[in-house]
Amino acid sequence: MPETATLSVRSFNNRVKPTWCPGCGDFGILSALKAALAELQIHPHEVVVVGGIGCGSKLPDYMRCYGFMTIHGRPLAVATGIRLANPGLHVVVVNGDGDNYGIGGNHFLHACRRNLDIAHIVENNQIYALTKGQYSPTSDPGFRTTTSPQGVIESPVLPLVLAISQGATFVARGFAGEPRHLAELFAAAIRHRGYALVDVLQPCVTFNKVNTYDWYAERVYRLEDEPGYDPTDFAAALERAYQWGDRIPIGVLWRNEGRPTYEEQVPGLRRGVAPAARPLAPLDREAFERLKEAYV
Amino acid sequence: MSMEWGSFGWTLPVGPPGGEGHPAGGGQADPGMEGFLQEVQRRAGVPEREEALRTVRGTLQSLRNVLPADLLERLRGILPPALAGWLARDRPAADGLVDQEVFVGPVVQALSTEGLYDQSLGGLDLYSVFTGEEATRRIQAVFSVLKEWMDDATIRAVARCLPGDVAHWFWGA
Repeated sequence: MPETATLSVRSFNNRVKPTWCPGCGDFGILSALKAALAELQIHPHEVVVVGGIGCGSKLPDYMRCYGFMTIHGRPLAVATGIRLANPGLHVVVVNGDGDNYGIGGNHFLHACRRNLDIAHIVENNQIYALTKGQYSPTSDPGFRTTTSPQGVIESPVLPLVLAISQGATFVARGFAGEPRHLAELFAAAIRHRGYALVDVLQPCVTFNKVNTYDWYAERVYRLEDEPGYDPTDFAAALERAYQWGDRIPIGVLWRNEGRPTYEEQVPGLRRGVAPAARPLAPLDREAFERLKEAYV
Repeated sequence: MSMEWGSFGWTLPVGPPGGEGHPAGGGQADPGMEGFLQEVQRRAGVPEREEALRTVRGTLQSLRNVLPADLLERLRGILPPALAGWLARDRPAADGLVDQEVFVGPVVQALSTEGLYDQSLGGLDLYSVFTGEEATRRIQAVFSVLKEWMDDATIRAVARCLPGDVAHWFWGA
């Protein structure tokens, strides 16, 4: 496709049919991401989507762009490597609440601190769906599943609180049932220079019959409709990040544009050519032997 | 509000939105709404009134997301008041990114997808394989009843706004 061609959602369509259940909230997320990239006029060859393991982490398979499916909980680690090696690529991480707030929690914590220029979309359906219905780190107390037959007894992870408190410079929440609004959030996250988290409330129509489209629709409200809400107000953002239950805010909760990104502060990356663009030296016999010795 | 319990005690609210005080809920029966539900129940072949109610609610809520404000207002004026409430939207613009998969979501979510759980971690989700077809069939039942309340111009206007295959379901209903 010529670089000058105007992009649309179709520019990111491929022939792979999603294996998600009909009605899955991931479809809204997929449409929104395609729309955001098209709106930003980012071409398919300019973006890489990195997924972990889970229903939503299969999203890279369903988009016409670079994609990388990693192991459970590790997309942020791989995305870090991609970002540092090839700063010319837009890097978008897409994974679920189990992948990111459970096994991947450690990577999430440090991604917030480091402020790499990565957009991170978390498909938060409050359940482990791919493995058929176990409770997850964000499941509400009392939620009954195959692994919580008497109801969840733990307090849930509060991802937005964690992100804001640990230095993330863009924190937002969206709802998969409102894909147009979600696309605006994704575009803002991708435009943001630094680590941008968008936690998406995503109904799982098969295994979560509590946090449904109806349930969310009755509770979500948009922060941009709240008079006087300032996403640069740290205290206000933290207060809204704790809000859950009868009223759940969606939109941009927190934004800090002043902090430099991680890669801007690494001396080796500021000088010269990006690692991915450096030419490979020819490997003669002597160099090959040295390389072998380095791994012995 | 009555509850359904799955094998592991999931709650599946089947009552009307907002509980008994909601216009579409309990309290005094709306004959127009009851007639609508009975017809949907018959055409969809669902055994329970509550299933028909969930199907109608899900379908109307999805229509609410994709139809422009003036068309929603027109539909709210012709439908029974108890159903018109589900078409209320506080935003002027329709969501142009709602595709047929997002459209069926509210209807699929109300279907039983548990099946029979085995004793190991995880359960059988054989039912979910069929949820798309079942949701389509039930949505078409709602469409067929809905079209009887509309004039031809409204039918054409609604069909133009429907995403993907949903428009075909509408015409074929």
